Amino acid sequence: MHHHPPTAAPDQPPRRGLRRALILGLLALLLALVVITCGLGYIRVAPHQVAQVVFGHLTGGEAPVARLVDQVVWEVRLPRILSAAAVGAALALAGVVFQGILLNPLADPFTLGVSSGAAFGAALALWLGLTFLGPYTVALLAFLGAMATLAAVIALSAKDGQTSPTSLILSGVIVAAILSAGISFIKYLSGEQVSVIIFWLLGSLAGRTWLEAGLTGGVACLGFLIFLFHARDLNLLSLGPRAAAALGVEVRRVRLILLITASLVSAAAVAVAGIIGFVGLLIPHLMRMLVGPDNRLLLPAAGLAGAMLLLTADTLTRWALPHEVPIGVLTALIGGPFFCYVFRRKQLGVGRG
Amino acid sequence: MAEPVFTIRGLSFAYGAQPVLRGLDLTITPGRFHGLVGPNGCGKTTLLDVMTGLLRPAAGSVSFQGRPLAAWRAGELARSLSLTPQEPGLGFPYTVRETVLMGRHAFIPRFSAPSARDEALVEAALTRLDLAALAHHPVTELSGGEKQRVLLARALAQDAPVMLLDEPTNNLDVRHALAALGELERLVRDQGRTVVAVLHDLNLAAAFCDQLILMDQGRIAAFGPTPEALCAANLEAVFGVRAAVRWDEFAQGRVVVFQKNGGAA
Repeated sequence: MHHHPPTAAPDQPPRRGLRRALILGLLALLLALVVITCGLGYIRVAPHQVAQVVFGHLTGGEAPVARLVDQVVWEVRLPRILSAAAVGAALALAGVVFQGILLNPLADPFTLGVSSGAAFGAALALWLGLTFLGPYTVALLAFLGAMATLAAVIALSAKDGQTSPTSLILSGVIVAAILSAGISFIKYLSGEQVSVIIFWLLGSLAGRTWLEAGLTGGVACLGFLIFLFHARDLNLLSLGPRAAAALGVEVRRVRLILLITASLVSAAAVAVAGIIGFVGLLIPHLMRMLVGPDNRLLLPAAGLAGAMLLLTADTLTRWALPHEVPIGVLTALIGGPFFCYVFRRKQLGVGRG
Repeated sequence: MAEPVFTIRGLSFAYGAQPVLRGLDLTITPGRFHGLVGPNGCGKTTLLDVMTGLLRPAAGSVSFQGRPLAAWRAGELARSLSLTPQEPGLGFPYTVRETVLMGRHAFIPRFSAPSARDEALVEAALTRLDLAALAHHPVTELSGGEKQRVLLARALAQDAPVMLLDEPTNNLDVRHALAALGELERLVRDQGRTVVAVLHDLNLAAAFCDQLILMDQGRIAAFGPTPEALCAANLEAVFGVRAAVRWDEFAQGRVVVFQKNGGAA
């Protein structure tokens, strides 16, 4: 056997140092974006002033800026911006995981009907006017709806305690169809309330609080750690359950852990922001093209990119556009055609090879 | 005689109401190249799935290296037993090298980098299956035969003493089929490994296997040294075709020839 002379192969997989640099670069970019977008709006705030406000609150000191600026940055913009970043990260992470366990690069956080469940819960709360948890009642019911839907989908698809990717997707489609009929019925019954329900379903991050930012961010971070712990198992699950099991993955256990965690993470995002499509589909796809399919790199890259994308989109609706466009509409209007373009280019590229 | 690798007794399995394995008994001894042959749908793949623990038997017992299969943890089992499945399952664009390295999964602790030994086994497997030039290509862009060689290389890298293979020569041209089976034969002869391979080409089975397992309708129809088990009577009973088994001077071995239309003239 003779060996090829060592050449600088351009398609060498990224080395560890390069990976770390990429993730740190994305993280720095996200932080810069947070500071910049915090300054944008009706009242302009310079980046260094934003930094002063944040530093002031973190250290308990007084920031050398006007009280109004301090309030706008700390109490209005920052919670909304961090909510947007957390929701974007959560949706992108859940998308990566769902695509891996469902063996389907076109799956997203909503493939299993999690969004329909959340929407049903929220519609129910809005129709009945439930307020036992104050303004968070809708979010709680959305969350419960999402989790109940997941339980129903797993129960429907399980056979001998096992679920297959195909039966999970089919069960998700069936349950989602029933729920959307239920949502239509609630809309029909709800008379004047219907606009509130429709507005919630379109998604929005307006007026989000520190509590909401913290909850979604916390769930997203916890989910990220669980995903990262199982990242190599997730890589192997993409070979199908038979191969993964024979290579040493506890398929049943790992798949259930990932399925529940990913649903929890997407439910937390939906509960806070409503239905925001395309982030969970587009970002994992795009990042897989950029950094490759290895989940140890893909997960952090997709999480950070998802945060940046939704933060940018929310800033557009809040600041750049003359009217506040529902963010779910904006991501679908921009993400949809862009995804068509990416998908088409990829199709043509594969056709050539 | 050495302790059996697999001891299977009274094994039954059904998909719903459809019985697939019906009270099957089988003992696999170490250091042999076993060919598993039988008609489509006779339960070969299901048998392999039960032997790897993916499916749980409805009745009967399976023990691997003297311990009930259910007592093995997945990671522990993967260090002793490998399976090369029939379907490639290569739907995500990992490179050939990354995919072959997945064969070492059970040997690499979580969050650790592959050891020098892991890397060496991967390189050796890539070279042996003629994949070195494709090492950094995405598996999604390979031909069917190249994908099959990736699966075989992954099993070689896994380096398990017992290897199960479901139609390992699927999609391979004759040169690569001979090379792949030759590689398995070498591992059995030189390193005392145990191979159980589902094969459809009876001439390849005749050339490489020293034991032949004939399966029919969820049971073992015949099992023994290939020269004895591979006979016209067994082939007619199991496959329902008229065949003759002859010594061939050129092949330096037994060859199987068939009559068209099952010999019904």
